[in-house]
Formats: sequence, C-alpha cells, structure tokens
Amino acid sequence: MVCCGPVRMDLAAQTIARGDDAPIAIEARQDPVTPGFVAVEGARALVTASRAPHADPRVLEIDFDARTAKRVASFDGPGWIVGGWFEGRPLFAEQRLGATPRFALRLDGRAIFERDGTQPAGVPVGYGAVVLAVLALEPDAITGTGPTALVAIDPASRATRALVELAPGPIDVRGDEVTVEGARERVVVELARG
Amino acid sequence: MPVQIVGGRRVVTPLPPPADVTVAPDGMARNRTVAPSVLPGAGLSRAAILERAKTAPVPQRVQIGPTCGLYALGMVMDAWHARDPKHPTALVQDLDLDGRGKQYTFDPTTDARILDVAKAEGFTALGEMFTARQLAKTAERFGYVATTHEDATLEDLYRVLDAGHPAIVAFDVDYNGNPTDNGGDRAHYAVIQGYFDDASGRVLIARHGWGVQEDHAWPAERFDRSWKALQTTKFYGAPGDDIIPGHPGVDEPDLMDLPDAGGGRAKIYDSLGTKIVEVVPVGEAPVGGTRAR
Repeated sequence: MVCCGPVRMDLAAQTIARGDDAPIAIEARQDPVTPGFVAVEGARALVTASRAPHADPRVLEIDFDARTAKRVASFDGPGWIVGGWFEGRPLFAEQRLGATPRFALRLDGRAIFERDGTQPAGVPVGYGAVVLAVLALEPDAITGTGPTALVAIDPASRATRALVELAPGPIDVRGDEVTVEGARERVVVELARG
Repeated sequence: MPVQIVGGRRVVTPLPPPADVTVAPDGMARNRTVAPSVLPGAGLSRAAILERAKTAPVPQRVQIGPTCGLYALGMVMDAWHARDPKHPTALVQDLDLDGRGKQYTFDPTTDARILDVAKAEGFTALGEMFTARQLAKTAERFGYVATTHEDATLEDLYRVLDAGHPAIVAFDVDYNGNPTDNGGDRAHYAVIQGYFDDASGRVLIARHGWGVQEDHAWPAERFDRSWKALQTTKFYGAPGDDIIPGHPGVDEPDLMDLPDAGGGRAKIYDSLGTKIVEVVPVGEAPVGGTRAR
C-alpha cells in the first residue's frame, strides 16, 4: 500500500483510491520493494504503474471525479517513470535502464535535463519558474552514479544550478522552504529568490 | 671430451604471486587492480572493463516474486555448473520453466526446486530469505558447501572474490537496483562477481535478480554503507503473529526468528546485515565463514 495523503495505491489489488471512494483499477505490477510513486494535485493524481516489475513503466493520470485513468507517459523495457506537476502540466522523470542507462526530465515531452547513467527516483516539483529535483549532475562513467544535490533547472534554457548537496528523498515545497526527507536525514533548504 | 647433453628434466617451482597480482580460477595470474587503460568512449567499453575485472562471473537469472536470495543462489549454482557440469544446478520454481534464457540458463540437474526446499525447511513463506544463514543451509541441501561470513568487511569480500568464488550479499536497494541506505526497507540480495580500482576508487561488479542492467558497478564505499543499513523490515509486520501483511492466508515461516523492532517491524541486522554467503562445490574450500549444519 502506497499512500499520499488521502490517496492510496494498493499494489496487491492493483488499484488506486481517494478517501473512501471506490478504487480505480490500474496495471501496477511493481515489485513491492520498490512501489510506484504518486503525485496528487486536487482531484487528479499522477501514478507510476507498470506492466512488469522494474520494466514497461507507465504514468497514469487519474481523475478521481471522472474515475478515469489515462496513460500520459510510457516506454517498454527496464526502467521507471515518475510524474510530477509544473505549472499544472505533467513533468516526467524517466529512467531507462539496461545496457546503457539514460535519464531525462521531460516537460510536455521536451527534455529539459538529460544525462547518461542513473538518477535517484523521485518526483520533480515546481518552484516559481524552476523545476527542483534531486540529481547527480556528474554521474561516473563506470558506475553511472554520483553525489546528489537539490538542483534547480530552468525549463526554458535547460540551465542547472546545484543548490545544496543532500541524499535523495521526496521533495516538499512549502513557501520558500524545500524539505527533502531521505532515509537518514531530513534537509530543509531555504530558498532565496534572485 | 665435451659434455654431451642427452636429455633434461623440466622442473617447475610455483612461485607465490606478487602482492599486487592474484590468481584467477583458470590459473592465470592477473593484476589485482584492473585499471582501465583507456576510459569508456576512448577505446575500452564499460562492459569490457567490467568483464576483465570479474573473478567469479555468474549467468543472469531474472527473479519471479520476492525471491532474490534464491535466484542469487541459482546464479551461483549456474556459475559452478558452467565450470564443471558435475556441479548441480536447480530451478528456483516451476514458473521458471517458461523462461529459458531469462529465469534459467542451464537445464537443471535435479527436479528439486530451490523455493520448495527452502519452504520445506521452514526458512521462507514466499521466497523471502531474511536470514543469510538459512540461504546457506538451502545451498547445502543441493550438495554444496556453504558458509556464512558474519560481521563481514569489504576485505572479507575481496578475499572471497580473489579465490574466484562468487559472493552472495544482501543490501538496501534503490529504484535502479543500486545500493542505497533506506534502513532495510528494500533489502535485496545480489551476487558480487569481482572488483577493480579506477580513478573514482574501488568498484564492485554485481548481478541480481532484477535483471535491469547486465552488470552493476558499485562504488565499494556505497555498498559498504548499504549492507550496514539493513536494520529492520516491515515484510512480516510484527514478527511472531503469524501474519504477513498483504498476503492473507500465508503464515510466517516456521523458522522465522527475527526480533521484534516495534512499530510493525522486525530487526534484520543480525540475520542479514554485513553477511557473505559463500557457496562452493564439495572439494573446493571456502575462504572463510562458518557452516550451519
């Protein structure tokens, strides 16, 4: 069971539900060790679903009022996709694994950040005019991983700025404070608008 | 009268390898440090670098279900079977039969299934193996000699690999199949196949049942933090109540003996953290650890 406020995704039953509403069926054959992500905005949610554990990922846009589940992003093969929101538009973090791992952040299908290698799984969020995500800006060529930081990305220019080095975790933006909660640390970053 | 040489006898005296050289399973000396002479993209591919550095390669098996430890064991059996067909290998479960080339590589030498054996022994309910020693015992049921290295260090790991033995280890896994530190919520098994040094430091080469990458390359320090991070699991909920959350009708395994950590969790560090399961055929000596009879 994966929860995000009043929204619950039940991997065993392959359903998602809001509050006491009847559950909506989704194809969520994730490995329970790595359940899918859920981003919620009002009456809709972006849900990570998959046709197989660690492979064939999809992002579904769930409309709890209309009770619909629409696929808005997908690819076949090993990897994962998670969806977030930016100015009301879906923003996807897409990780392709396999022999040549490659990661991309896509806004309206356009890549605003791309790197060879692997990146931490996490829902990117918007803050003003920038997208925030926990990323490794310089993954090692052999291991495909690297030290991670809270990174601001300008979707228009694709410019990136590492704000503070920290461990990956869910990002929560409240006002001018960003909280990233990893397994062993919770970091609050106070942002200054320039 | 000149000396006439009519014959001779060649005497070979094995010399110990120099400190920076180790002996691979085929008897050839190889540098302990396999530093890439060129970087990927400038000549030697990543795959080639990893292949050169392996001392204990294992064929891939893709797991079905929460069975990572059992598929890791299957990969190790396959590795020994590849070296000598008299070494046994087995399928994990009947579901594997439809997955030749994915769930298994070699035809099994026995009809016994690794999952069935582990269940019959009381080690597991669904394939999960939260006690490394029980994974070792499962290997022994198939005719292997298996030891568990307790409180293992990276040096212990290197010794196992230097002997050409694959090392089964547990760690905390992230979404990419790489080590992370999540307190044990994502405990997962892998087989370490070798290691090498490059500009970034020491790198371990691993394979595991997700099959999302051909070979994983992990900074040794990152792996070290990860296998020490295996503190608790919520798989059994509160241990000892015979209920497995999310699996109604399935009882906890009879020999599941994990301490209660409170909050619907069981402690796993003593049973799983920093353990190496070393599985070798009869006649091959493990480099360390203790056997559990």
